[in-house]
Amino acid sequence: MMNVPYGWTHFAWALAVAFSALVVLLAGFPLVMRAVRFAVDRRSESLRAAIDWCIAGLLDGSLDYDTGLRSLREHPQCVGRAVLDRLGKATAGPDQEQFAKLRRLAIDLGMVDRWRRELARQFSQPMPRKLRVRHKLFERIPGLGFVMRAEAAENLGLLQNQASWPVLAKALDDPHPAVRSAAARALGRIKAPASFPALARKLEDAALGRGATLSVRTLRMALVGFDLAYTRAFAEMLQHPHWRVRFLAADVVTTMLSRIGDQPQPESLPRHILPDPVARLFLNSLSIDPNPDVRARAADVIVHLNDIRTMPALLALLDDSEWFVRLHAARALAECGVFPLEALGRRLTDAHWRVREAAAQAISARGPEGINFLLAHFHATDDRYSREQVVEQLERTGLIPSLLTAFDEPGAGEEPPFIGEMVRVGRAAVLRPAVPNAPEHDQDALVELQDRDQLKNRVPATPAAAAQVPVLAGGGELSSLGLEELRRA
Amino acid sequence: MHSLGIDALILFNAVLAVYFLAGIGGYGALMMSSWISVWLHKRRHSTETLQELRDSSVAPPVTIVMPAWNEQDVIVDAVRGALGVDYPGIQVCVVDDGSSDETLERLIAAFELAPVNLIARHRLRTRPVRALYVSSSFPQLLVLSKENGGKSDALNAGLNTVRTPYFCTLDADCILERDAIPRLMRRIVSDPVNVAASGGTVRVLNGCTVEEGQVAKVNLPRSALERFQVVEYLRSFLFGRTGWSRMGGTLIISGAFALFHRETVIEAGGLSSDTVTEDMELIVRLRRWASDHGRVLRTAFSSDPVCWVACPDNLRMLGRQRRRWQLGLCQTLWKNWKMFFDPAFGIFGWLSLPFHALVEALGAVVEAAGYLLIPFVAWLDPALLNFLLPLLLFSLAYSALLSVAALVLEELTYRRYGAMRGFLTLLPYALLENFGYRQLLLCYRVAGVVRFLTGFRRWEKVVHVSPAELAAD
Repeated sequence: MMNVPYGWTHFAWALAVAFSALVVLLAGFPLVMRAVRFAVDRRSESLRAAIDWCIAGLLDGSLDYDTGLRSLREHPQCVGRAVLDRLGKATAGPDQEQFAKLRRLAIDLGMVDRWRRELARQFSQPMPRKLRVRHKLFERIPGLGFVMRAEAAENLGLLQNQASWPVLAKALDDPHPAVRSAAARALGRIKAPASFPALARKLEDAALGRGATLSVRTLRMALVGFDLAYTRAFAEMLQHPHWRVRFLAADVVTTMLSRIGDQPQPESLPRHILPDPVARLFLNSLSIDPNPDVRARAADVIVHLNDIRTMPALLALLDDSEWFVRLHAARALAECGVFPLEALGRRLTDAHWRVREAAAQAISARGPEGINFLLAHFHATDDRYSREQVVEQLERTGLIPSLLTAFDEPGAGEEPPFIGEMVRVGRAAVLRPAVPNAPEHDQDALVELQDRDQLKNRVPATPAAAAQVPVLAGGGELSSLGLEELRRA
Repeated sequence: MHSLGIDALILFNAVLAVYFLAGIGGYGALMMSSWISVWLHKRRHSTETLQELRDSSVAPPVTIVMPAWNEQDVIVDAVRGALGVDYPGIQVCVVDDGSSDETLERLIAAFELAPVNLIARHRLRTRPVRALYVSSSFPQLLVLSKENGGKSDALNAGLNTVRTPYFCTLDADCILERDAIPRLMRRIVSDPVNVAASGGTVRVLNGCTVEEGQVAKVNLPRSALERFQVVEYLRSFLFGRTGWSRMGGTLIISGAFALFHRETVIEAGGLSSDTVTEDMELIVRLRRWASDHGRVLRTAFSSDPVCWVACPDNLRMLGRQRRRWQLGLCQTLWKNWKMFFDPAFGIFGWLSLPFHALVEALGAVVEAAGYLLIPFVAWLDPALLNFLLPLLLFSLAYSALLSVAALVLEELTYRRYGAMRGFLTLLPYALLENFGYRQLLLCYRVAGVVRFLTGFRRWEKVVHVSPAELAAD
């Protein structure tokens, strides 16, 4: 027989009863919370209504500011939430005039001062009892002290209070990452000129992995909102001996430029879009940087510089030894729009497919001139991969049906090489879907290409393709060789 | 003989005690950890607007990769839902994994797809791709039709075409909330360490009203089986995954809905067909790959990005699903047994893997044996029941405590099922799930272990109520 040690049975029963009771208590907890919340809500409902009415009156001007402020000062803790809600923390942001009023209100009610003290952990100042209790509670529970500081940083950012940047900059070195992150985001919102170097310094720290680290993306998000004039602060970083520092600084400048490029602009970006020392660094130093990542970013930046040295630098990068530098250069040229087609044409036979693809895209983006260049290249080259890339680009731009239509135009001049060449190099499958209602695997379907009625019904896939149709080489019949190949395809 | 039986029982008692203590300790730690984590997350992010991230030019582009095999009833709505996700420059890549129904045809008709002949570049080996389609109305949509090769193969084929730095896997029978991707991305953007995989919460779609590919109204399902699963999902996602994520021991990120860094996944070899739970296997392999290559990366879980998934509404499908999960768990743990107690993996190697092996995988067998032995013990020595009964009661109470705590956490934080109403409706199911439902799942889990031991590897498709049917309801 087995004997259970003395007392274990009682212990087991005690555990069972205790945990059963815990289940019941836990199940009742939300009910109690609900009841408490309901009672509190009912008590504060009228107060909230009065505060809302007061704030609404201040915002629409129907209530005198001083009178409203006096009323609101009587219930500072409830007002805080109401103002934050109005500031658009939970909903869409208010308009500029209302925003200014709310900002003034938050300052006059002492909210901004309180948030700054919370962020700096200065709790010695007098504050309402409820807030004091909350602070003590949060500070004393290990691991929770950061919550108040992070919220204070977020609130200051939401309010875009310029005078708060020093305390936020200091919070970039807070022991908790959530506070550092909230402070960086807040600085990005406030955009105080003096805070840019502080953020740049943190970016350098992040690059070198020293000090209290912050996410590089968070820092980028904060920095890219600033005006490009502040990039002067990057001059030192762009010459830093460590490649990662130079790379991240260049990367932020790239993002800032692309952000500006995405916005509606006049005809072109201003001539001196970057401060001269920074522009010089990109043109003279970073475009020939020993690190390929930096050179790649340099290509993205210098394309925006209205300088005589821009094109030679980009063309040099287009022949870089690293494929992704060539890729960035090709994309940069595509963005620029003005470039010698032959230079990019060389990249159609690049060893790396992504460069070939970027080159084909850049060339086709030049419009009819670029498309004709691609067609000519297709005809002239023996490089299989290059030909495939051209075909793919024509597919992507929706030009295959257009080419077929052009091909079918009677008396339009010389025989178009493209269709015949496609068949000759075994790319006839591309043409098959262009024939309407043809069974996919019907080998004879391509013969129907000769049927003019069908071809006339083809519609270019995109408006851009439609615009290019008239200038494409077209007309005539397939050569006998081409037709034979077509039948066999 | 009788003495040998007693010795065996004593030994088994010791095993049970270890299992019991590991389970109680582990789940208790997870409960505390997840309560803190969810509460903090909710407090920190409840009022924070996602607009800043959406407007930012540093938000990394994302492609949703949606594998589909015979999903003709749901595919069009699923793609519409994916296209409607609120994230700048979102792209969608649907992979038709050789469907034998009208999945592809319906896509072609609904989105006016036209075939294109793009160059195939296979960084990951997959079954042959038949065709690629693009839509003139939705330029951000790409549809890929390939020969059937399973979900991992379909995802790999999609991955070969993805150009964005991040991709989100999404099952065709899932509905993504509009702000789910920015919420997932928030974690990636704010983390100083590279996040290779970011997962969110999966909730039960059954009972909800679906309109135009989005959940229009959240309701609880009608049947008890589905409601038990609602409680189970809440416990699993709010507790288990949040807790493990906080401790740095995430083993599972649901492949139904997860965000991955493309290059990292490709360099790690893509999704594997070795196991029937490719999502779990990928997470473990990413960690191993990072350790082997001296990389520092993180797998993160957030409780607020939500994806709605239809759960099985009958026992047959539930059995298939749970057997597969258990089989996949065993396969993954077995495949990576070298990572156990390896200092290079920290909490993951020392706590997470052993816990999952002992409590989640082997635990099924131990628990089943425990149930079987109680009558035997009663026959052997009725006096022992005086001890075993309160112990059993304690174990049931502890189990109920975990479920009720998950419901309370849901009630105090997200309240997706309505304030109080959802809590009160689900409370009886949280208390009763230990009387029948848990034992039922135990049978499926044991069957999963048996399949693992016998070398069964086939993927069983789970057919359940579709969002289209929910919309019709």
